[in-house]
Amino acid sequence: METENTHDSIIALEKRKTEIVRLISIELNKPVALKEKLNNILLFLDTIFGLKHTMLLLPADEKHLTVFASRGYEQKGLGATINFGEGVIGVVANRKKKLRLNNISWQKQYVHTAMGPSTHTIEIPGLENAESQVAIPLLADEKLIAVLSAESEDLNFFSTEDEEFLMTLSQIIGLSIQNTQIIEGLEATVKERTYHLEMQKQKLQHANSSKDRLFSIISHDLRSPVAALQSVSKLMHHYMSADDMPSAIKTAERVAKSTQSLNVMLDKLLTWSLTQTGDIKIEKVPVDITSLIKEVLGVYEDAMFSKNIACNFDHQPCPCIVTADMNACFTIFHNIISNAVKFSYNNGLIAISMHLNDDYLNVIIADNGTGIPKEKLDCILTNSVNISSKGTANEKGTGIGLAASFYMAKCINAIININSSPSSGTRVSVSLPI
Amino acid sequence: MMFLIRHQDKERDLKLMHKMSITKDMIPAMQSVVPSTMATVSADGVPNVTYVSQVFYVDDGHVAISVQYMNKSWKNLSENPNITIILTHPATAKMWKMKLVFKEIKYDGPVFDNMDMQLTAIASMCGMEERFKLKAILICEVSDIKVLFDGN
Repeated sequence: METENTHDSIIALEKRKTEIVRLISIELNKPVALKEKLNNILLFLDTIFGLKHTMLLLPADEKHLTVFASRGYEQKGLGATINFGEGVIGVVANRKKKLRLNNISWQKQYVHTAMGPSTHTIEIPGLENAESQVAIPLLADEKLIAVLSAESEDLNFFSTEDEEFLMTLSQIIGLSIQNTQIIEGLEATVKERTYHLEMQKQKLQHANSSKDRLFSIISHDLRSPVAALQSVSKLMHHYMSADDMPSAIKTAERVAKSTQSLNVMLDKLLTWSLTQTGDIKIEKVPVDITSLIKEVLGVYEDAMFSKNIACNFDHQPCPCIVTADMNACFTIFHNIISNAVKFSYNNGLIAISMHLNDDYLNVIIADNGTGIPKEKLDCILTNSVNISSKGTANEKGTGIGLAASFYMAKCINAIININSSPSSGTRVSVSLPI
Repeated sequence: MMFLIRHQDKERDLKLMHKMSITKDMIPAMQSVVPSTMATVSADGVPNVTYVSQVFYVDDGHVAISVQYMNKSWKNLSENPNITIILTHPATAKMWKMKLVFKEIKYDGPVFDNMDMQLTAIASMCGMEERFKLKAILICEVSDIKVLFDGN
């Protein structure tokens, strides 16, 4: 009779175990985020097994575990770490084997009695007065995926049979956590790659619009002066054939002027194309900014004369030497002064001043010209769109000068600030590191 | 945590009717709550009594004893394999006198690993994992068990 009862109880037990495995399998197959999955596992263990104080720890690296989910504690302790080899959880992580400890406080007392007082004790997240603890390694392909810890303040709370059954469950829990981690890892990778692709797309779109702009400049702005040159060269040929030297000389002057403007435009295009390909080579050498600005002003002497623009260049202290790339500095000041001339009215004023401090040379170029509308200034500062505007004497522009200046400034760690309003003109400050 | 039916215990109790074995109620006494007392005797009859931190249940007929600080006991065992252990139940104070015969000393294996993990975990909690180490375990066969005190 007793044997029959034992047999029935074995069958009932196996049925119960199968049911538990079925239930947890259903729970683990739910497609949820890792954090939610871990919390659900602990809820399940509480509901089915009455494990009130549990936590799941995931390896943060090869020496530490981090609490990712906990249940039944006053302080959740999420994010707390345990070193491998410390306490029940740390030893289990180290050995990848389950461990059950009962009557912990007595055992600790025994160690202290045998060894004397300790110089230090470790702080481990969990119950302060835990008497029983089971920790189970959750493994997948021999790899430690997590450690499941259950604690109780009762003596001898966990039995060998319970521990063995939890070990059975640990395999499917470990695999499920690993699968979720893989899926989340893949999702994160997809997200990251999508972000990079989006960034690349934006860059390509920007490059494409820049390319369109370049073609537009080449086809229109650059072709016009070339066509003009062709016409005036024919005219010159005509005057020389007719032995009309005064007209030929006048025409030659126009040719020189056209080629100068063409040369400036070609320089800008070349610099701009280099900034687009990232092929700029920076060579830092001592640069005398005073001489450089004088050189740039020389280029625009005729243009300033024709618009009767006064230029006040306060170049004290002199010389002002900075360590920078000569071409970059030239591009920066060339474009800023070119704009100041272009957008100054007839009889306007351009004031250039320099201020030297311990770290920087600040050069300020201010004009009382047309100024820049706010929305256009925003586009220039964010480098989002190349905007070309005609000057006060209908001078043509490329819309790439300031963009190239900002790029060059970045290359030599200089800072360009622009303050402008349509009523008061434009004030550009260039800070060059000494 | 009592959801499982303890069928294995029932099976074990049935077997105990026929031979001298460790009984279910003795298991808590092997959970290191109250340190057990171990007595050994040398070949010329000089006894030695010491505390042992772990008397580990191996199976119904065997236990393992931790070897940490037992120079005299180890000397005695090399001359005379008989051991007497006093076990105390942590809740009821029931006491057993268990006679053992030392069979072999082990430095590794599943039982050693399990006992070592327990000691390491406890020692690390006290910051003494470097000093409180398991050196070896003694595998002993149970030859006799007597109840010394029925407990409360």
